[in-house]
This record gives sequence, C-alpha cells and structure tokens, in this order.
Amino acid sequence: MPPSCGDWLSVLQRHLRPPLFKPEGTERLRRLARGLPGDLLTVLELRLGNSGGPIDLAFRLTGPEEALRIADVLPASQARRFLSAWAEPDTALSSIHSAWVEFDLDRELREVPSPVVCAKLTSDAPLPWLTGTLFPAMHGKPLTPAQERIVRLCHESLPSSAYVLYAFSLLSRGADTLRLEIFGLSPTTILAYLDRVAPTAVSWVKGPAALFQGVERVHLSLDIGEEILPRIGIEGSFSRLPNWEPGWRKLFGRLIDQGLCRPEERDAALAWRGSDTFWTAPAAWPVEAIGPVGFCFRKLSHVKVVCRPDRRLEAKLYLMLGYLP
Amino acid sequence: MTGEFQRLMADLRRHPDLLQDLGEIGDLDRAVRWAHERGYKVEAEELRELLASHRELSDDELEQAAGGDWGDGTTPPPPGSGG
Repeated sequence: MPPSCGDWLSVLQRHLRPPLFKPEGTERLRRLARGLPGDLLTVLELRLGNSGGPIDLAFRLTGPEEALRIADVLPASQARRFLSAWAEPDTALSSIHSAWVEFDLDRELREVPSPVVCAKLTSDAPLPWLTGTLFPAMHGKPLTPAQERIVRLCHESLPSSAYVLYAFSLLSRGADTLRLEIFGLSPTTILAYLDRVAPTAVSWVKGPAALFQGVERVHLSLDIGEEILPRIGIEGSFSRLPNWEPGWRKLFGRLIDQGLCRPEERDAALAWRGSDTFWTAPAAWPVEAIGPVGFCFRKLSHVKVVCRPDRRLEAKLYLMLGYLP
Repeated sequence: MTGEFQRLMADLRRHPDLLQDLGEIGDLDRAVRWAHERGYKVEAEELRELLASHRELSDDELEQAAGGDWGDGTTPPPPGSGG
C-alpha cells in the first residue's frame, strides 16, 4: 500500500503547530488526507491574520495516470468526469500541461468532496480552445454568452508579457463561476489591465496591488460569472527560497503593516523549509510502504491577497510539501 | 526488505538511542559491523540506502523539488483557488 498524503502529514506532525496550524483545522485536514495519494506535489492553503479556520488541500496532477488515481477516489461529479476525460489518449484535452485539484475543508466532511479543478495552460493556448473545449469540459456545459464574451475580452486585452496560466471551474462550490489566473503582469500593469476589463475594480485593487511591488512572480485572478465578479485575487512569490531571497520578508512586512499577517505567522511561513526523513521521524515514516529511503520536503509556495470592494482584505498562505525518493 | 532488515528497522523506530548510535556512524563498513555485532544480519546494500537518507536536502535540491513545470527547474506557484 503506497503512502497516503495523511502519512506525510504524520511525518510532518512536529511542523504542524501554531501559529499557522490550529488543532481543529489540522485534524480535519488529516482525516481527508488519509484517503488521498501521497506521491503528488501537495499544497496547503492557510488563512493569515487571524490564524485558524480551515486548511485546504491541493494536489498537482501531471498526467493521465495521476488524474485517474484522483478520479477514482472522487464522488460522481463534473470534476471526476473531467479528470477521466483528460486521461483519455489523443483528445482535445491532451494539450493540458498539468492540472490541480483543491479540496475545500471549510466544513466537516463524511467523504472525499468534489474538488475545484484547475488546468495549467501553455502560453500559446488558443482562445477558441479555451472557450470552446477546455472550459466546457471542466464545467460540464458550454459557457454562457456573457462568460464567453468576458473570457474573450480578458484574453484579448492581455499585454504581450502576460498569458492565462490557469483556468478554473468553481462548480464544486455550487457557483456557475469560472476563474482565470493570469501570469506576467506587474502591480502597475495589473491596474492598466483591469482598466480595460473591469474598470470599476481599479479603485479597490490599487492599494492591494502595491503590496506586490518588487515581487518576482505575480498572478492576478478574475472570477467570471455573468460579469467579472467583485472578488479579485493577487498572488506573489519568488523562485528562490526565503533564505536567499530577501523579497519574501519584505512582502510579508507589507502584509503585517496592513494588519493582514502577524509577525509570528511570517516567521513560521519563512521557516517552512527543509526536509524530513526516516531519521527525523522514525515512528511516523511509512517504512512498510517505501522502506526508510527518501525525503519529505516542505517549502514556501506563495501568498495571496483577496480583494473585495465591500470587505476587508484577506491574506492566504500556501505551503508546499512532497516526497522525493 | 529482508526479515533481518525489517527487524532492525522496527527496533530503530522503537529505540531512539539505537537510531542515534547508528546515525553517528558515517561509514558503511562500520555500520555493517555495528549491525552484525548487535545481531542484525543485514545486507550492506540495505544499510547503504538507509544511511543515504541521513541528511537534509540542500537548498538547491529544495528549490528544484517541485518538479520544474517551467522547464527551467522551477515550477509556477500553484493556483490559489481559495474561495
């Protein structure tokens, strides 16, 4: 029996502690993770500022075999149908580079829930394929005329430096909502871009966008219903680890200044780096499954600020973990 | 894993002192001797694998650890799908 994600969380137990991890959220995470694969790149999503609350769980799927393994544990759902369709050889979905599934843990679960699904695109993914093939496959139905018009507007308004990196269906949240996540914009060009696609958002995104000044990798996410919804996400990260990249600390410092993150949360986030082995966690290491070999690594992924015109900003932290043989 | 190695692993999990003793031996030949002297007739190759994981990943290894989705050894941050 291969290790489950829950096995790796047991290996990491000594790192799952306050201020980032609270017992209730961690226990719920572990219960779900026990039934999910342990050999996939994994990301935990945590809320900053007033730590606590749910910890969501996401996995990267790099191909059909991984897609089918996740599909097998899902309830009957559009997410399951999409992953199974992606796994078929030589179809219009075969050009998907990789996909992510995210399990929301904002409520007590009796079984594995249907996840949010997200496809990673190449920079040259054609717009007609996005609107006519990918989104309908993820969403289980064609786009509405308004959604198609907005996706086209968002795509055609991109500056040459930017492209759609991820496409989501948020169907599992009970909403007929799509999400585009755009890579290659800066805090300044985000505003110019929004001025073209969602001009009313510029006034309430301007402040949060400035938090990401100097950040190496910035993502902008837009939720699309019958209009661009008043909820815009900005994410930031650096390719290097925090001990080599001072920009991480500066970014967290700006979040702290805005009351979005506490200093002890910053310190814990910057310290999410390293590896465990049989030697550091002998009792929890899944020896029966894989022997005493390999490394369970952890590293900081990125932070996100969610902007809404009528609500306080919200900051989230994304922590990566995985197994290296 | 041979039965003998399984027995050694079980004892290493139960007894931190034993694990620490073995961890302080850097050399494979000495580790094999150490095991045999304690009654574990394990193969050298099994101990080699065990000793190879007795280290931390380097920063370079950590930076490469997510698989290189961008073809340059780095990977884009995963999507932030939080609601």
